[in-house]
Amino acid sequence: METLTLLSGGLTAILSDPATLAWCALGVTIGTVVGALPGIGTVTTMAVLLPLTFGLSPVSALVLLVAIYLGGMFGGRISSILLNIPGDASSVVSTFDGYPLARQGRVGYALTLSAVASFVGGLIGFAGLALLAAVLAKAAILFGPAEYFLLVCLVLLLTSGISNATRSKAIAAVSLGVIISTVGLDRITGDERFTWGIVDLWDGADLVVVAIGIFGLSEVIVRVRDGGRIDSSGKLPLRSLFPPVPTVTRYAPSMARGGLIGFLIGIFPGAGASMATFIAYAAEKTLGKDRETFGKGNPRGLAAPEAADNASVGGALIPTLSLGIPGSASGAMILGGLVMVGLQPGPELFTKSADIVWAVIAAVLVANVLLLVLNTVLVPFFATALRVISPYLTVFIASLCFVGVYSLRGNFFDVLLMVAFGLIGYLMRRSGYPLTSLLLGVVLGPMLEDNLRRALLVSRGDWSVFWSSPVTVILLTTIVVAVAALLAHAVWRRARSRAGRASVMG
Amino acid sequence: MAERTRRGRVSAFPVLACLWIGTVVWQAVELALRHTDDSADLGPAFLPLALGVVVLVLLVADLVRQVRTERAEPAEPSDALGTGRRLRRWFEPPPRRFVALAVVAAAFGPWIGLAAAMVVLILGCLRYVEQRTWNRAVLTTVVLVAALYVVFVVLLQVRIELLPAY
Repeated sequence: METLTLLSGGLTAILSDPATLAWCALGVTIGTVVGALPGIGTVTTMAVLLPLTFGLSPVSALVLLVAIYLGGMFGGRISSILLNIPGDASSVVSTFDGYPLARQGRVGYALTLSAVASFVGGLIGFAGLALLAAVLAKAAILFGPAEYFLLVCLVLLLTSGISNATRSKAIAAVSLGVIISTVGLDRITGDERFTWGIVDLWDGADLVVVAIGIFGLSEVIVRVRDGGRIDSSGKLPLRSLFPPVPTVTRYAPSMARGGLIGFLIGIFPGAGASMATFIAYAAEKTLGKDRETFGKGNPRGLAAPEAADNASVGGALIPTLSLGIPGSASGAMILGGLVMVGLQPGPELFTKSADIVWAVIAAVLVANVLLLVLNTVLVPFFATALRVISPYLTVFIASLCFVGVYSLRGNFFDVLLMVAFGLIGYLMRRSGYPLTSLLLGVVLGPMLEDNLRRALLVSRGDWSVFWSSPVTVILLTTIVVAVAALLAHAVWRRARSRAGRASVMG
Repeated sequence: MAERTRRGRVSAFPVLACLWIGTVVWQAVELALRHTDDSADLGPAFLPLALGVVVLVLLVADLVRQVRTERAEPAEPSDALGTGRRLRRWFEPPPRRFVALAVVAAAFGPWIGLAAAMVVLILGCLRYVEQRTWNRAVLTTVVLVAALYVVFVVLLQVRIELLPAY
């Protein structure tokens, strides 16, 4: 009851002040547009606009930042679905089935489905944030380096089954990604690793550079090779842009599962939305009977990760607000916003500045509603924009990749690196190596290595740290079961193919 | 062109990856030998070395599998060509032209600036990869560069150096 009272107070603070509501609307619009542009990313936008909040009231400032955060999450899917270029790392999974849907001429359906899934995910995140903030924040701090290491191992193991490529290729690609993430100065000892003396590589290969290269530029090369335009370049009937409600609502269970996974993963500091989307996709694929259609335009493969992406925002705000530990880079920007308006994030925030905290929580709900309206109304606009630019899509994507990467640091070395990754991505596609596995390795590589080494440093070299706490025991058991299941599945498939061959020969 | 089957042809990615991973393993061994710290830290070489060996084994296995499998491939003309004509023929497929343009635009970027690099990329791509007319290519380039400028520099206020750094 107390929660409802506090929440209604927060909602009143936003809805009764036209200026705050206007900032919220502006935030979601900017976030959506910028999120759709590859390379810029939500974090950069929040960083650029952070000084704008100096002149605003604390509530307006924080509402603006939360609105940009959520808008960026919504926007990231647009370029993933339309162009096969993820706006940010967490939108990578949306390309798996979103882009094939667009290629089948179902642009409107893919955009509407993902908008609704994002909304459902956002609602789950909001509900979780409002109800469980205090309780789950305590659980998150049970995760130390050993637990994180095992969690990352489990994620890598489970998601190696995401791709439709052979498992050995998926494992090679994931490992290759982890090795790419080790290029640069070692974060613990400062040793130079695999840089060939190139100073620009000291900070390693930026994740956005790798993502845009292997997804965006390699897509351009494939388009140039095939001389292809997407199938939606013809006239789209208005009806197809607003699909019947049942075709969207039938995927509600996938959205709910994805939202729940995204929320829970989002709570863990550092885990982030990208891990949540990968897990949601893997879970959906594991549960489904139509696994073969994943990666070829299965709506469930789009709905679940989109819901997870937006639900992770609610989860990430829990440690940010109650512990002062940001769950993601965007969460860190919110943290910066809290400090800038004179608030100290932590347990006392909920007692000393309850009005502002609950306004932030209410902003998640308001921003989600605004985003749903904005994104469903604008579906015809996005589809028309795609039709207009279709004949020039190759140069459009290529130039976006170039400018997006250059805008990160103003360094042409990054652009050159992006071109190299573009070529690598193209060669990987030709050889049947999964791009997503490589990117997953690059995303999770630093977490894997840092937590492995930190865990052993803390335990002074005692490896039993990986099975000495209840959480590690649960994670380790799950890993062992997963490995056993994967091996059993491989043996069963081999036996079945042998039996099939024998019956053909017989 | 007629196709024929042939053993022994492998795809480029595992070969390139093998070469790079080979250098990684070699450098990781050097790092491990240099690492004299006797604390509990595994050191900077442990993970790259362990994973590098695994990847190397998987890639070599893939290469061996490819060598053993017969693959259909287009027959290449066997007539002797001069270096210039051979180079021109090599650049005939559009993807190669595009990659060459992208490399040129990125490599010369520091000397010609982002704006000029974008013009090189877009104009070159429209004219030489997509074979558009000069008029159409120039017009599209102007519109696209202007649109990118408005979105990134004017609206989003992203600080981008458009002119050469040197």
